[in-house]
Amino acid sequence: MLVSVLTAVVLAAPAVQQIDTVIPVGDRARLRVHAVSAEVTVRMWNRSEVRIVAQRQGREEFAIGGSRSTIQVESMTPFGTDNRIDITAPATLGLEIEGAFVSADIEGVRADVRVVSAHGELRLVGGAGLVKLQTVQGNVECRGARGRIEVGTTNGELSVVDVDGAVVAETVNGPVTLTGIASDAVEATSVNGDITYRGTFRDGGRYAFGAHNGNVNVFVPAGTDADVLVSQFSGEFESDFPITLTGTRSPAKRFNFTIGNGGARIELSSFGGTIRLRRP
Amino acid sequence: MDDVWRERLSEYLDGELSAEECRACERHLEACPACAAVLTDLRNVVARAQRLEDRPPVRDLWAEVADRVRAPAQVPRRRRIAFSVPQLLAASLALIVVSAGTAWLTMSLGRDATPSGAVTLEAEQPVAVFAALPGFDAAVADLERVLEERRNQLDPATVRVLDENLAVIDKAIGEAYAALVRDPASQYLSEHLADTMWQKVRLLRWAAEFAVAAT
Repeated sequence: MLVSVLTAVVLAAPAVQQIDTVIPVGDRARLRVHAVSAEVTVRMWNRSEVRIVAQRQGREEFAIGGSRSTIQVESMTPFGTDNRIDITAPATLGLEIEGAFVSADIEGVRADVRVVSAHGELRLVGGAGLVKLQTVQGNVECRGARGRIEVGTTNGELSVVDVDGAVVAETVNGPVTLTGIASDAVEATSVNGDITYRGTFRDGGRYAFGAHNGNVNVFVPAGTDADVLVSQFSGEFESDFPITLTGTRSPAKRFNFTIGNGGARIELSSFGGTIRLRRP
Repeated sequence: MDDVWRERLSEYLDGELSAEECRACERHLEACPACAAVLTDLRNVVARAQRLEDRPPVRDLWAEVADRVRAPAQVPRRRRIAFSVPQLLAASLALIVVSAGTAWLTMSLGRDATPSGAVTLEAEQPVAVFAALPGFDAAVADLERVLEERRNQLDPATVRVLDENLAVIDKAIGEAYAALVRDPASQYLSEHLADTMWQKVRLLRWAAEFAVAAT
């Protein structure tokens, strides 16, 4: 009897299948990963191949297919099951990762990156061209990207560091921190969260930072020439730059002034928070 | 594969795909009549929206807008959400109408630079941000309805986060609306209200696309 019970238990236990596949790819290939729930890690190597390591549990669907130009990975492992997908790929591989409960940790890629998740932490070091990281619940970190960068979360923190290119950062509930930005087009918005910017202000560039219930903190490097527009409903305005206020005020405040000779256009707005313009 | 490109047709139309993705999308469109039909519909929507930009100037609408501003503030009620592609398309129509109206509104506002060190408060001009309000209501209603129908495609945790954050945005919209009622001449408040409304539409649209992709 005991042997029969043990046998039944063993048969009912989900089989764990280790997947370790290496697929040759051509130049400028793309990898698409669609998973219900997974922690996806992507690292680079100097080979024209993509290695995919994962574990398939029980009868969950896990499929790898495609061609030398496009590789597709589908994982239907449900939420609540430990599911890792580790990918090693050439740096020029374009990446698309999406899923409901997907976290992504990507380092070293020099191609387009698109990651869309409902719940997950998104971290990217690298990226070139079109970079889009978006989640509903979770923090997003983008570091060292080049090109056009769009990062967004609904509930979480946005951190963009040392990027070169146009930046759009948006959150509803959470802070936005932009550091080491080299760009002529930056837009950062938050409903409930502070926005902090440390980066360049190029002549002819446009930089817009807006919050509803959040503070806006902008650090202006020495030698910057900019036209600044400040808009507020309530809250304070603090500036390390001397300005002279003229005219009359309406309940909602909007005023502009020039730093240096003007050139870059800086728009600072907060409905109910404090706006601070600081020297580094 | 078909679903992947269908959900990205709006990006293709907006020119947001890379050159390689464009080529891949176009190859798919050649082989997929269904997606080609959706793209045609989206193009027609955009064309209709562009014709809306030829509306009469802002000031001709001010009387009607002023009445709406003076009306008691109504915070849009939060509704449940779900999607089908035809409904998403209908919502995109309203969405593009809203975006075209908002873009037109934003472009009509001018700003002047001031000499270094001198700060001048801008003369506030009445702005018909509420000219876009009917389109906004329709867009939000469509998106919320479609999302409600696809509610089961999203996990409960995602729905909860979306609901909570839509409430955050609704609260911000209400606060901005109330401030604008008190100060209807404020250009900033008009723009801020429009921006916050647009943020709600973007979140709903993103949720809708995600729900469709989840089916």
